[in-house]
Amino acid sequence: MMADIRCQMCGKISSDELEICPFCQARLTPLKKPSSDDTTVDGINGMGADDINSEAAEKSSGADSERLDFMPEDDLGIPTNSAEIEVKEWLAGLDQEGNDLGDQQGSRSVASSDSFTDKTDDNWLSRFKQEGITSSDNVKPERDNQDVNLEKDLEGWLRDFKNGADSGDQPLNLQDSDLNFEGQDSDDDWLGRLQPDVESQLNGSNSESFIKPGDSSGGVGDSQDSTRDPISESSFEDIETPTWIQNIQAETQGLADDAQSDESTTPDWMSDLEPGSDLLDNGSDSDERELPAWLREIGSDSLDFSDTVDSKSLPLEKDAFDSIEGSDIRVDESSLRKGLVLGDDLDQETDESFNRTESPEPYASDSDLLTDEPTDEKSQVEQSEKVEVDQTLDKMDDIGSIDTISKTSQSSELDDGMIDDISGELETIDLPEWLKEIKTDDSAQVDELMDAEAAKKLDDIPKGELPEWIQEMQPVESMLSQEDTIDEKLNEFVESSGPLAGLSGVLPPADGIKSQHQTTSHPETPILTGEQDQQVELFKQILNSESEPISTHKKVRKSSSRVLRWLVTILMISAVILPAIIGFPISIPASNYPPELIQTRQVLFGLPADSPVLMIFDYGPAYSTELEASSSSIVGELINSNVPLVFISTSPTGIALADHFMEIVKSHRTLLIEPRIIKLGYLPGDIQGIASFASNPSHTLPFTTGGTRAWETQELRNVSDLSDFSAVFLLTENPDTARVWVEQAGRYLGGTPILVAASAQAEPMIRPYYESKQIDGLVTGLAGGKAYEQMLETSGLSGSYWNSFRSGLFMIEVIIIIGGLWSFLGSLRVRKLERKEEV
Amino acid sequence: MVLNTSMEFASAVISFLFTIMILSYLVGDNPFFRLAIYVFVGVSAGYAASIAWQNILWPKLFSPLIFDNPQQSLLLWIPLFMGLLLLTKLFPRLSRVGNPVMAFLVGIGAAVAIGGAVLGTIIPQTMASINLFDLSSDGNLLEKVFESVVFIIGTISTLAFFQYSAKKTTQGIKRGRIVELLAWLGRIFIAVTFGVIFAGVLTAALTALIDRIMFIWSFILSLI
Repeated sequence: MMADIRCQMCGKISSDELEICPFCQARLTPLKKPSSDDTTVDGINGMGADDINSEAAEKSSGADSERLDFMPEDDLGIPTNSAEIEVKEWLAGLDQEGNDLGDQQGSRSVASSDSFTDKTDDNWLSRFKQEGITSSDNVKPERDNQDVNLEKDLEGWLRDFKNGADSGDQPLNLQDSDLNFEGQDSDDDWLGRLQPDVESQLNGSNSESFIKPGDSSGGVGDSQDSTRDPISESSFEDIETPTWIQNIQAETQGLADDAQSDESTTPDWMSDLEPGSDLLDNGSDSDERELPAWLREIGSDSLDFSDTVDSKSLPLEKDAFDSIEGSDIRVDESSLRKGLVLGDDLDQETDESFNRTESPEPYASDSDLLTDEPTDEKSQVEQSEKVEVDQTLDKMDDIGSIDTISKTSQSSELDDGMIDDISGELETIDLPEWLKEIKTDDSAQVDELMDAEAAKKLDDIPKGELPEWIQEMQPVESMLSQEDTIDEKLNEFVESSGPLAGLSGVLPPADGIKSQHQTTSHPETPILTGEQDQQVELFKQILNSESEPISTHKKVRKSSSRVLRWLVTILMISAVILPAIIGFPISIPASNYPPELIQTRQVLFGLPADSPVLMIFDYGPAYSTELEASSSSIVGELINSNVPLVFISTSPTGIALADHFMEIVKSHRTLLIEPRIIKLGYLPGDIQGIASFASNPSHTLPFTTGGTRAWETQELRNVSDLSDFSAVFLLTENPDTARVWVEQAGRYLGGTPILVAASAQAEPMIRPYYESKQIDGLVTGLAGGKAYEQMLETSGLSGSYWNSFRSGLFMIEVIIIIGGLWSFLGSLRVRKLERKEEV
Repeated sequence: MVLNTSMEFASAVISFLFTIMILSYLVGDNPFFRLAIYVFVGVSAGYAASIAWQNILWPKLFSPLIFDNPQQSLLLWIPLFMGLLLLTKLFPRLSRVGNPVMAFLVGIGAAVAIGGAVLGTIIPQTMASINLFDLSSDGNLLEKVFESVVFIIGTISTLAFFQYSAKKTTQGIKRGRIVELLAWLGRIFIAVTFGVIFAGVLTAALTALIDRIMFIWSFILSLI
């Protein structure tokens, strides 16, 4: 029956037959051959010492043994005892693993792979250190997307690391490795004594936090990365080295001295680890110098293991747990877990526990970044291995956060006595000389290289590559510090002036404003010199003169115009009244009769009797005197000729003026017969009414002003059209009215003559119609009426006004001439003045 | 003038007072002058309204609608309705309702005016201008030629005066020299024409002044 397995990277379920996750291309199973004895344990809680030992034994006897075959014995030059052979084989496996990873990780690992493939170059440990640092640096930007909480937990992790260091975790790992390196025959017992305590610790602890691999490596790796968590560095500084660790340091220092004295025992590949080796190019940060030398060594070694060591290439764990099995030493779960990290980075059992403890999303994201379009199967395998290595790094980092939870409960359970026992056992361990040399060399070599490489590394890192979480933290910290500073300033500031005086916490003015507004004292009254006083007085005078109003009203001109107005009025009234009082006659010579007046006379004399004449009164009351004076004699003559008169007007007041006209005629003219007058009244509609009346008079104005049917009267019985009238006599002062009548009625008149009695002001505009013979007769103004009366040798209204009219015209002419001369002389005087001014 | 009746005396007194009030404008604008103006305007408007009702609306619209046969006066409802619509022009909100009637009146008036202008003014005046050069007509030939020359010069120069087309030159926008000369002549003719019109207005006003002065003189003499 097929079972499902959960991907460690993306968290998705896949078949256990698959080695590579179909979703994220990550390896689902560890790189080892499954064996019949390899039983799946759900958690580390269920994993007994036997299981661990058997698993470690398989690792060492399985694939790892094959890898160790790659390590040439001649190059190593290691003594051929059993322990050294194991170390040789295991290191050979690491070398091969490093080659594999170097091939997969591109340019970053090219140098490393080259170094690994170089059989003559045996400084594989320093290369691991370099590889680990390099890989961690390269992977680090990819892990920047992890949750911020994970980063915050780093500090807690460091506390756990401290506890772990106090409890001997890290030295235990090292010692475990050292023990295995040196030989397990003599030290199996002390590790075996740890088993009961380990079981008790495992049973009483949280399995989820316990089983996280890569604890020590991740922790040390993080401590080496100063850019990842600078806060954790301070935690390292605060670590108090326990006594058993100090003993180990002293012992390793002594061993290092012995190793320096006996360099002939150092293998060739170890000689590259001497100070000045170029292979240790990727040193750690400068902060790492503050750590003990052995701790930096552990960190670098652990990181190298985590980056490069495959689960199948760890005989150390097998040996370590074999030794633990038979010992009574109580081992802290974290140290055991770190040992697992060194030996087996990802077992399936522990992976399940990991999946229960943390979200797979960060891994999925990392795997997405790392798996870019695999082209073939080989590349997929390489990619999966690469992902696996990066996954190990990620989990090493994540261990910090998980340890924060687990270590807080576990570290308190550490027994000082147990630590003393472990340290006592560790002191008895004899390290091989080559390992002692490594330690002694690293203590001085790493310090020097770290400084140079850290400075170089810092220079190489561009600022733009800083992780986002660091960039996000910086402004927050700065803001917090600023806010605290501002709050303190606000609380300290007490307002000393103004309405807020005595209040604290008032916003003070900005420092820049304060400094800019520092004023100096000036005297209240300026000190002026004599010249400045004069200028001030002059300026005041100018201002006063500007503020004074300037009178633009010329009274002289107004008085003169008023006098002139009264003078003209008196002259005109005198000119009008005097002739009427004196009464001297002024006649018009007969030769000066205008032709239009003569023609009018001819038309009137040719009118047949009893033929109605249409009289149109289209003038205003103001011109009634002029038109009455000019036409009264004509109308009187028509009345005496017994011609019926039909009155019509386009003005509402026209009929009233017609009545007044007839009174004037009656009063100034001796009428022989009673006038026959038919008043059609007011003709509305202006031009349309005129056109309508011209086309159909009886339909347009069917009634008289008295309400009777006009066209049924005796006078109009024979009249149906405008042409049926004997004549049309238009009285108007408006040239437009005359034009409209001529235009609209002219085509309906036929042979009917049209006479116009117009005001003098309308004569220039009406005369063209007379010249074009559209008007048969024209009488204009008082002069035309006087001429017509004189022609008829009668007296009328025109005659009574004639003398005044003439004298008034004379006076007007005189005034115009005098005014013209005055204006001319005035212009001459102005010109003379202008010339004088110019001269 | 003899004031025979009290009615004539009253009208003479009113006429005298209103004449004096109008002549008071010699001393400037004053309430008497304004009162006389308002009275004249009001009386004229009232008289016009009464005339419109008495001579137009009642006998030609309402009387037939009321007293005549409805079938015969059926068409009178159309002018009544249009007249009511035209009254809506008094109210801004309803003024749009009267627009069609106003458009009808304006359209009819324009059509009538244009037709009359073309047939009654333009063509006859053009023909009259042409006939001035008919030397075969009666009269003195030299006088006709002189009159014709003056007439044609006056007509062309007056038209040239109202010619506003010009060209851009280095000295600014100016008309041509010939056009400028004709325009200068046309300005003289126009000035003479305005002088004649002013003389006519002056004589018309003088006539009105004589009438009023003679009335005042007569009224004063009648009182004495």
